[in-house]
Amino acid sequence: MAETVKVLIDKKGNAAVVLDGFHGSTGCSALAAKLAQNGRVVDEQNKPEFYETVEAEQTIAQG
Amino acid sequence: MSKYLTIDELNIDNQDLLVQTLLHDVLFQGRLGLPGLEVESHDVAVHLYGIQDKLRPETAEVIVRRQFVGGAANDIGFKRQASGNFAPIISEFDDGYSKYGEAWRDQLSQRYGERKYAQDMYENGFQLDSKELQQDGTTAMTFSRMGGI
Repeated sequence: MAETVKVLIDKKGNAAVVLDGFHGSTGCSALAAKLAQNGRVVDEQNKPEFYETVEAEQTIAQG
Repeated sequence: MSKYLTIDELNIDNQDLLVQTLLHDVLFQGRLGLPGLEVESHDVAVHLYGIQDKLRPETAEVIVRRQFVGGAANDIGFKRQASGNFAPIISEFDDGYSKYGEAWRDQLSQRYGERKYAQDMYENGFQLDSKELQQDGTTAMTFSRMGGI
C-alpha cells in the first residue's frame, strides 16, 4: 500500500506537512513529526493556518 | 550610487540549494535560465560590487554579479545570518527598477522550499507524484512511497 504525504509551501517558503492516511504506525508517526519539525515550519503571522495545520498533524502523529 | 537595502532574512538555510534555485528557478533580466548565468558560492563572504565596478562594503557568501542582474545594476548577494538563514542584499535600484523586489524574493523562497522538500522527501524514500500551484499561490506537492515504514 502506498503512503502519501502532501506538502504545502507558501510564497514565503513556509511549509506544512499534510498527512493523508499516514498515521498507521509508530514509524509513520516518527517520520511525520520529523518532517513537520524539519526547520521548514515557521510560526508565520502571514500564514497562521499553516502552523495550526502542522500543530494538529503533530498531535495526531504523536498521539 | 544606489544604496543596499536592509532586508529581512529569508526562509533559506541551504547554500547549495540556494545556488541551484537561483540558477534554475527564478527570473534574471526577465528570463528563466538566463544564458551564461553564473552564481558564485563562497565559504567566506566576499565583497559586492556596484555600478561602475565600485567596491561596496557589503559582503556575501552567494553572489549574482551585476552583469546578470541587468543594465546599470549592482551585485545581488545573500549573506548568512546568525540564525543560519540567508538575508538578501539588494540595492534600492534593483529592488525597484530591476524587479528584484518582494515578489521576486517570494518566488525565490517558494521555489527553494519546493527543492528543499523534494530533497528531504527523496532522502526519506518518497517519490514526487505531483506538483501544482493552487489558486492562493501555495504550491501543493504530493509524495508517495510503497510499503510500511
